[in-house]
Amino acid sequence: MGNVLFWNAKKQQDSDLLSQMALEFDVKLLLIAELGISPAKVLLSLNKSGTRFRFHPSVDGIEQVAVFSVFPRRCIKQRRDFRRLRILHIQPVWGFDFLLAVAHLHSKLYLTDDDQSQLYTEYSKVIHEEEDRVGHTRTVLVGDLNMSPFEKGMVSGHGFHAVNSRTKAESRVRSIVGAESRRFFYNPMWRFLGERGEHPPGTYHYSGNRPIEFFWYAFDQVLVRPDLLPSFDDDLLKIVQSVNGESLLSRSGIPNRRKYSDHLPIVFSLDYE
Amino acid sequence: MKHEVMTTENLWGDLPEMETARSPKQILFEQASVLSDSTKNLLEGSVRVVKNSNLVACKLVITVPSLDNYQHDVLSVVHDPVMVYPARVFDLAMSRESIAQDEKELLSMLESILQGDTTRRVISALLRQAHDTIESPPF
Repeated sequence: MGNVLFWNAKKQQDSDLLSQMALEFDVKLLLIAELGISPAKVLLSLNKSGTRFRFHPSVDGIEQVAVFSVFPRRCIKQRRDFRRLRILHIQPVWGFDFLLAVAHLHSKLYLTDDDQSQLYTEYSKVIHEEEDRVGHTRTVLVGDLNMSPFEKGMVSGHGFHAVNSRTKAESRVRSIVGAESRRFFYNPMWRFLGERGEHPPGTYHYSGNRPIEFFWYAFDQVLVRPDLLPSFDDDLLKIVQSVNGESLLSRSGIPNRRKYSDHLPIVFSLDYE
Repeated sequence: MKHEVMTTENLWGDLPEMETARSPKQILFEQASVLSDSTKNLLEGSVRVVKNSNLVACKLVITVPSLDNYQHDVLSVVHDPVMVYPARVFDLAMSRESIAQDEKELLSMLESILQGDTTRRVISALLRQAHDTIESPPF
């Protein structure tokens, strides 16, 4: 069993906070977008009491998402960097291998929803290509996808094709008019689109003055291919609200952007052993 | 009829102690691991091994993950696949070659290279650069 934590840290400079997060959630893979400090500082904090974590740089030197792991270097192969997407092949010493796609996709500040949807077809294609190359579809995509689970780029068969039903995803592929059949992802983040008390109604908060505002968004998502679903437990997917007893939320109950980030981390577990 | 119990005679004599005998590869792996641990994985030591029927060559390499996996070759040890000694030791930064007749000499040569001025300067420079902030994408 390995826990994976993703956070858009919004240039967070507190390496001890990241280290505390890794410790508290027993993280095997720590994925940080918008890391505001050097990976070296993070490593020194992560490895304060024993050298466990490694930093895995991207191929092109631009870190969309900084990847730290407890896996030996030989167990993680960088498959591809494509703009804002990194695909890593994780081959644990014990257990089955899988593809980890990590992304920090384009902000809505400069693109319309339709622009994003168009772009996401390219990212989806790259994931398909890498799956074909490794010869399996045990893939998980995680990151700040900058789109809500219900938007076209997320749901469309040409986009990530991520649905809110395990059963539907387990049908594996779907034929689409005028196109080849497309693989499904299961998107468990749909259940965070609302407030039920035990979690905030999203991972990101934005308060604007446009006529239509959702305020809370679940931009930080994990998508799971059907072949990995037996290893993925919905109940172990959490939005992290506090670290070491300290809340990541402000008094008004939204992410404390001044102290931490306007995004909340997500943590999930993969039983690859 | 009484059978005589035959005891096997040891014609090998006293064999070398198994626990203390280490191959150059193992020694280099240990030193690679010491470097990784001491620098909290800012610098990672590793050993590359090439084997054929005539020789075994082991190279100690320093990798800096935060510098796009920049690699620095420190030294290599080359020896016969069966008769480990004499082993040739190459200080790759100084382009210097020495011959180690036994494990004791090998350890002394490795120590001299690893604690030498050149290696110290390289490690110090790599550690300084390992602290650089990574490049983030534009929005």
